[in-house]
Order: sequence, then C-alpha cells, then structure tokens
Amino acid sequence: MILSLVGQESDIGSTLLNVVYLGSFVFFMIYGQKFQTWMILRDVGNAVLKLKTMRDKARSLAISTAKEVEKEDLDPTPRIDHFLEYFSIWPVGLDPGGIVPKFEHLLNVRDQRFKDEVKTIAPNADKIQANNLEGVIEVAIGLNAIYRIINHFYLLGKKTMSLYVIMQIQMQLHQIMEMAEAYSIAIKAFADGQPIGDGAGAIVAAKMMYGVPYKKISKEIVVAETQLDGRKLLILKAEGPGSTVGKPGDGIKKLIEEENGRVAMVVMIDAAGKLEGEKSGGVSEGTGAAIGGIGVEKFTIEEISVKYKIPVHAVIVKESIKESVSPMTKEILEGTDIALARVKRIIREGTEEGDTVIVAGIGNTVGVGQ
Amino acid sequence: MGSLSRNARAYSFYIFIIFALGMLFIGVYYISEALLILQSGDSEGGIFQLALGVFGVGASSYIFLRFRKKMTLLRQALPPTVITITECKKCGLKSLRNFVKGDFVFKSLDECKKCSEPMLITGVYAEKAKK
Repeated sequence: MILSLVGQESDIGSTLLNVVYLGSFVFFMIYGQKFQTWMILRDVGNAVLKLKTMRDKARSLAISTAKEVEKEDLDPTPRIDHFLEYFSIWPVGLDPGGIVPKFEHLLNVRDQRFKDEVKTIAPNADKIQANNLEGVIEVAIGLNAIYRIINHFYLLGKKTMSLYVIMQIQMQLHQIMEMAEAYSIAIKAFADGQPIGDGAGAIVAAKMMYGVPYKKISKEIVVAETQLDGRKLLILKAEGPGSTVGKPGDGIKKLIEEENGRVAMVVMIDAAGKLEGEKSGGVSEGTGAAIGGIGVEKFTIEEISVKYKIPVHAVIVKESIKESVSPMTKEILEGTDIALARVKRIIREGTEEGDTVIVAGIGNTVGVGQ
Repeated sequence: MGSLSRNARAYSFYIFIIFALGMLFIGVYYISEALLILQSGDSEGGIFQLALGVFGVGASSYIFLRFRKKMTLLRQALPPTVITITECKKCGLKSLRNFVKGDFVFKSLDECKKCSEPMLITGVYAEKAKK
C-alpha cells in the first residue's frame, strides 16, 4: 500500500527516499516545536560555553592584575572570587519622591565598598593602579553576571523544554554576545590603562586643559581655569589616567555656586550611542545634560542649571555601545578633534567676552591624563 | 553547565554535518532523476522529483549556512592592536608606535630627536585586528 502511495514500485531506492521524505513531514508536524527548541538550546548552549570562557579569562586577568600591582605575597583569588557575585539592591520606586538621594547614597556606598575591596586585595597599589584594578573587577563582575543569567535561562529552558522560555534569551543573544565580547576586550584595556570609547569627552576636556594648573573640585574630578577669546573657561573632567568617571555633577554644582550662579553657559561633552548606519566618531550637538548613568549626576546638573537659569549645551561623539567599552578607535579619537572645534564655536557664538563658561568632559578617563 | 560537555557538542556537530551531507546527496540524486524523467517526457513526475531535489539541496545549504553563521558568532574576537601617537609640541614631529603599558594621553616622554623638547602622547587608539 505504501509503495502504491509513493509510486515507482519498481525502484526500491526511490521508494525508500520517498518514505523518508513523507516521514520527515509527519515528524516535523508532531515534533517541530521540540526540534526548534532543541536547535535554539544548542545556540544558547554554545553561547553559554563562550561566555564561560570569557568569564574565566576575566577572572584570571583580575587575579593576575591584582598580583601584578600588589608587590607583597598576598593571594587575591579568594577575595576576587567572593567579589565576583557582588550585587546592588536598587531602592524602591513605589514612591518616586526623593528617590534620587537614595540612589546617590547607594552608589556612594557601592563605590566606597569597591575602593575598600581593592585596597584589601592590593594594599600597596598606587591610585592609578587601584582605579584600573577597580575597573577590571567591575568588568569581571559584569561578565560573571551575564554568564550567570544566560546560563540560568539555558538550564531553565533545558529543564522545561519550553520554546517560550528559551526564546526570551535567544532573541537578545546577538546583542548580549556583542556586549560580552566588548567587555572581554575592555577588561584588557582597563588592566593596561588604555583609553576606551567612553573617554571621548574626557579627551576633549584634557585637550582644553593641557598645560594649565588644575585642582580637585569634587570626588575624583579636577578643574582647570583657562581663557578663550576673553571668556573664562572652567574645564572639568575626571582625574586621570586611572579608571574613573568621578562625580561631575557635584563638580559642576560646586563651580556654579562658587561663581554665585554667574555662569553664562555649561557645555558638556560625552560619548553617546549612535544609531545603526551612523558613522562612529561623528559629532552632534544639542541641548541638555549629556551624561549617562542612572541619572543622579544628571539630576544634580539639571537642578542647579534650572536654579540659576544657565543654558546647558551638549556635544556628543557618536559610537556604538560596544565601542564605548572597547579600546578607543581611530575614528572616535579623530571625532574628539571635531568635538573640540564644536565646543569652541558654541562658546564663541553663545557667550560674550568676560563671561564664565563651564566645560565638562564626561566619561571614563582610563588612559587619559590632563 | 554540568551536562554540556565539549565532546558531546563535537559529536552532535559531526551528526549535523553527516545529516546535511545526506540531504545534499539525496537532493542531487533527485535532481538528476528529475532531469532523466523530464527528458523521457513525463513532465508531471519530473517536476515533482525536481521539487524534492531542490528542497533537499536548499535544506542542506541552509544547514551549512547556519553553521557558518554560528562559527562566526562563536569565534573569539582577536584583541586589537593598540597604537600610541607621540608628538613634539615644538617642532611637530609625530610618530606612531605600539602601545606600551603605562602609556596614557598627555604623558610626557623622552626628548624629541629633532629639537630635544619632551615628546608628548597625544592619542592612543585601537586598530581593528586583521583576521
């Protein structure tokens, strides 16, 4: 009967192949979804393997960097292993009034905890080494978190064999792997103290303040006073070349208060996410506080600028999220020269001689001095 | 990742390759059969065989393409070459060299070969790694 269904009764080979084909249709009708789940699980499983390798490499690099900066014979491995799963519990958002100070407090505590931990791991490290080691550990924590989350969904998908559980992660897998790969490269940049894409704003500020004496204005933020066509420029950036972003919001607030609010303009330069198809290192300008993060620093800048009615201008150097945590590319470095020219033009066109202008270079200053 | 051993993954990789090669073989066989049937004048049977053959070749090509894509995704990114730009602010002498640990932007270096002024690092950037 089967032979008559598939035809060609005389040719047993063709008949067999026809049966296999028809069988495969039946198979995919019944087990299609299971097969798809299995295929996705394989994809995610491969990604988990790769993430595990990245996580292990990051851990090893964190340990070797700690050993390198710490001259004494202290073994940092147990401390680093404990710290790899460090987490923060964000404040409750049910009652949003007053949430920013809560975030600020939490971030300050977290930051201090990181610094204390680095001091315990490498008590003899100098400030630059300690900041870079902090960056390395932060990236290692990030990679560990990515690995654990993807592995969780992978194992959950495997356990339930649910297409919908595993699809949640598979749909974002490409972006997640790109980010993990960028972190994997970034950790080496932090260990070696190389500038990263996020440091574009810091480089612009450094170019403006190079050769001018500077002083500390707020936590890990330095300021230098210079002149541009009769305007007083107060240039601030995070104190390099160690890895830090500092607290530029506090710095800007303090400077404005020191000037009794008589500031004609604030210009902020930062690296910002480009859209697909846009050129890396391209420069755009706009209005508002150009600063990332949770929003605590942005809030501080917005509050003080509103209080004194100071216009805040933004100049951004475009780059992908991956580029922002990877070693700085030539295109982005060239973009900082364009951004510098734009900043000067904005100041010349928007202010008059005798005015005071604050220029803030935002971003991680790893590998960027002043 | 207890059950996810590298050996098991390697075996399943080979099974997939054999499966894809099998599909390709069947597809090619059907296409050649279809051509013979079409030549004999049975257009209906020939088209059916041809459709099966094209499906087989298409499915195997799809599997190979998926593997290629997956291999690209899984390939570890090569570390970029990092270049340091050194410049003399007085005479403008500019040179490029490989990044050395301890370099940072606006670090003063040894004297310039031309005018004995200290050289300055004016940029550090990464070049894409050659594949």
